[in-house]
Amino acid sequence: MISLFPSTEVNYNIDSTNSISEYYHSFEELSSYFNSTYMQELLKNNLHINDILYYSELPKNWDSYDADKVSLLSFNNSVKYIRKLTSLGIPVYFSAPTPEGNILIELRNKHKSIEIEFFSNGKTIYSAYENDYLFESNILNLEDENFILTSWLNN
Amino acid sequence: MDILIIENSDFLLRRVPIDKPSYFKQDGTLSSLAFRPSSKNRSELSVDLEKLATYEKSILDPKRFALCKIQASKPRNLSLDCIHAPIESNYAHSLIKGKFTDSICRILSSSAKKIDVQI
Repeated sequence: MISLFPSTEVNYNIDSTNSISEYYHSFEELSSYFNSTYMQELLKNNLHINDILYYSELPKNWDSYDADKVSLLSFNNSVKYIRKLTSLGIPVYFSAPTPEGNILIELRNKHKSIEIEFFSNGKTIYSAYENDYLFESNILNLEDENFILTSWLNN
Repeated sequence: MDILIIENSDFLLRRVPIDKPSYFKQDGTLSSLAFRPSSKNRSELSVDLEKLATYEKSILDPKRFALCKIQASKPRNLSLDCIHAPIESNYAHSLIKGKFTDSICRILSSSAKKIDVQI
């Protein structure tokens, strides 16, 4: 376990100068890791989850065009899936409620994107686009551990 | 109320949420959700005919919405129809009618231009 405050570490050996540079080097690396763009993107997944929680509270007609309230199943499934994506190191680019009361999230990498829509009936459908052309669309099994599409997205 | 014919060169206004949620993405592009009908009627999308509308009335609340415009020829090129359908509270009310697939919604969103509304 790395301590972030080596000067206050009770058992810290002040005679070991090698340890100081190792410690500082490690702290710098850790700081750099958490400040990296990649980590910032992953941390944004929590913001998306917070946003989806907010969307679930929106009243009917929130868009002024008769939009439905977000369904509980859409909310649950989308939040669960974003947590799974976070554990896989995959940042969410965009999230929003749909007029029909579903939740849509988008993953993106340069000219490729994947839209995943969580329907109120529990179904989940993904659509993969490359340069805005539909590459593939199908039902997504939320329990599937092999999320092959992320390999496609990152290649 | 008089029903007008919408010309291909006429513009249609669509109100788009910008404040939690926002249908504008980080890169400024508009989500296809902006042109997706509600479940109330999946073959109709409400818009305002620009030449009969005022931006102030169409936008409803500039803190929550932005206005986007699209030329009537765009949906018509996608086999959708544009008809003037005034309602009691809004003479400019019109409809884009037809089959709205995800691809069509994406094309409509990418064709729409955000209007800088000064109120």
